[in-house]
This record gives sequence, structure tokens and C-alpha cells, in this order.
Amino acid sequence: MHRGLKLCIWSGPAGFGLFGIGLIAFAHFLPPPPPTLGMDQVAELYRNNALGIRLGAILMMFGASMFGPFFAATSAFMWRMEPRAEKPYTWTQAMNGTVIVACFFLGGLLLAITAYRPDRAPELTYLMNDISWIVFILAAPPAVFQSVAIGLAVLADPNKLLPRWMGYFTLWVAVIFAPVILGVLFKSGPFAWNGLFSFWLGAGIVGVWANILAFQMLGAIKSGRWTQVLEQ
Amino acid sequence: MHGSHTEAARPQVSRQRHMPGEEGVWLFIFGDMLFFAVFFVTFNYYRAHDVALYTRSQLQLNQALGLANTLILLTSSWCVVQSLRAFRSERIATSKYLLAGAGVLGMAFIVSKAIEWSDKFRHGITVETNEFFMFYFMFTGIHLIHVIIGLGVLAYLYRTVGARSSHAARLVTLEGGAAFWHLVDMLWVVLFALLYLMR
Repeated sequence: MHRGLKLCIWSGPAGFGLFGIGLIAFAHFLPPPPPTLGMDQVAELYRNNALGIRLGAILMMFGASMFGPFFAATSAFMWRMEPRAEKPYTWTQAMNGTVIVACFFLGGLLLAITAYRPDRAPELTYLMNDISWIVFILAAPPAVFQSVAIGLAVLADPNKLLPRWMGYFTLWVAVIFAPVILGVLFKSGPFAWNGLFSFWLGAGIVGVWANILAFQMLGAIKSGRWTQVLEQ
Repeated sequence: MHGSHTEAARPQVSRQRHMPGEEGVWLFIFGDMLFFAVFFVTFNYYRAHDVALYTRSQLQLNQALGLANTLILLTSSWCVVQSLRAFRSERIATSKYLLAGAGVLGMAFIVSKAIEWSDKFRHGITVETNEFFMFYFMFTGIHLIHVIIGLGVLAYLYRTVGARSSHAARLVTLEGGAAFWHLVDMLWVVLFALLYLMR
């Protein structure tokens, strides 16, 4: 039962996995290149792994696209959670989720373009590298409002399709996402794009949180709560 | 030891063990405390590498304004405590006035932070001045966002006090929201000690 929905939910963890493999195993961008690297060092980085970065970027673009079905499944759940007929949280999630897909897709695409001609003038590679990483952290503001929307929908749900603690947990995740965007202000330290608050916490928590969300949705289907809610 | 007192003490004990608000609220609160704890550890880690710079920069902060901030938030928290007390004894109007008072004090905190920040900007101090001021602006800024969210929570509580749902249900919401406001207050007290006072 609900095979399509389950497929969409699994697309989330799978997409995160694919994105991670592309970023880590192929592009070797874990940890991310520090913003303090000089122009020639950045150009050399892309020259040394041009093919790996392009292959990694392909996986990242596929991974990012797989967030789409996952957010669609999340919206399907939220639609049933929200008591209000207009479904404001569901729409907010869907729209901000789309922007997040766009940010991760474009970040991957920009890395691919940067590594496409690694012998171009180092100034250009330097600029493209900045653009790529800043596009990734650009996902933070929409992610804040996406998680607030999900959190509020869980708390507004009279049927408790997902546990209420998940609502509060998701609101907390929004707090963690917020400082990620501060990477645009700094080139070193904990708030830079390779720092604790702009990268490690956000990237770590988003993985944990999305997987918990996926397993809770799958659990709601398995236990029959989802069918019950549909029949109401 | 307390065998003979058990019967008499029982209602007392169950009252003491009462957990205010919903359990999930505490998940958020402890999560947020953890987040700020990571901030504080990070700050001390970086500070240890250049204590002189941090001590020198700290002198440029306005301790009096910092103390005023602390008193504003503590008073505001006190208002919320009194508001809950009033609500428990069904004095709804008093409860509302006190919540409004807490909100006004929260806004006063934002105003005083704006004054403090613009004074820094006037003296040419920004996030880029040095590491200490990076932490100063980021931590106080993230805390300020908590204050703004907290004002939203207080507004929601203000509506809840007069809502039609049962007294018990409203009390749970009020306790949860109040706990969040106390968190915002407590985080500030720690930030104040860390940024303004620590030698």
C-alpha cells in the first residue's frame, strides 16, 4: 500500500546519500576548501581533481533532485496534518523546499562549470568557487522557514500523525539552520563556510533530521495511522 | 525515615514533580541550551589563543548597558512568573496585564540592543573589527532573534490566556511558553557574563 508515497520518502535518505558521495568521495570537498585559500591554491585544487569534481557534481545534482520527491511526500503528510483548509504550512514547505532543491542543484552545477575548464584564468576559478559555496549556504534561509512550517504543522495536527516531540525538534533544527547563512560575512573562524556553525552543525543536523523525518513518515504508513487519517 | 509522613506528603510530592508545559517544549529548550553551550565552548576555545585581544576588546563594551539589559530581562521573566500565578488563581485580567508588561520589557531590550549596536557602529566597530567582536555581534544577534521569537510567543500566550479552551489546556501552553521566555532570559545572563564580565 502507498507504494508511490513510500518511494518518494525513500528518495530523501537516498538523495542525501548520493549528494554526500558526490561531495565527499568524488569531489573531495569534505572538509570544504577554506575561504582563506589564495587564488592560485583554489585554481590548483580544481586542476588536480577536475574530473572528480565534475563526476561528483553530477551525483550532487541527482541527489539534490531527489530531495524534490521527499519534500513532495512531506507536503502530502502535512496536508493531512494541518487542520486548516487553506494548508498554509504545507504550501510554505513546498515552496521553500523547491528553493532548497534549487540551491543544492545550482551549487553542484556551479562546481561542474568551475571544473569544466580548470585551465581558465585563476581569477575566474577563484570567483566561481566563491559563488558555488555561497549558493550552497544560500539554502539556509528557506530551510529555516521550511522547518518552522513542518514543526508548526506537526504541532497543529489533531491526529498526531507524527509525534509531537518531532514538531519541537524540527523547530530547534530551524534554529541550527539560521546561522549557516552567516558564512557570507566571514572568511575564517566558526562562522565561515567551512566552520562549525556555517557548515558542520548545519550539515550534520540536516542529515540526522531528514532521516528521522523519513523513518517517522514510513512508520506512520506501516502502523496504519496514515490509512486511518486518509479515511477520516 | 519519612514513613509516617508519606500519606500527608503525597499530594505535595506530586506537585513538586509536576513538569511545566509539554515534554516536547523541554526538548526544544535543552536543544537550544546545547546549541548555546557549543557557542560558549567555541568562544572560550578561540579566546584561549589570544586572551589579551579579548580582554582589550571587552573594555570597549558598555557594561552599564549590559547590566541594564540583564535587569530588563530578569524583570520581564518575573512578570511572566507573576502572570502565571495570576492565571492559576483565575485572575485573567491581571495575568494579561503582566504578560503585556513582559512584552513591553522585551521590546525595551531590543531598543537597548539597537542603541548599543549603533553606538559600536559609530565608533567604527563592526563584525570585522576582530574575533572578539565577531563573537559579540553574532552571539548577541542570534540571542536577539530569540528575543524576537520570544515576543511572538508572549503574544500567543496573551491570546491563549483569554481563549475559550479549558483552564488546564491553557495552563500547559502558558507554562511551555513561559519556559521559553525564561530560557531567553537565562541565555542572556550567561552571554552577559561571558562577553561583558569574564576576565
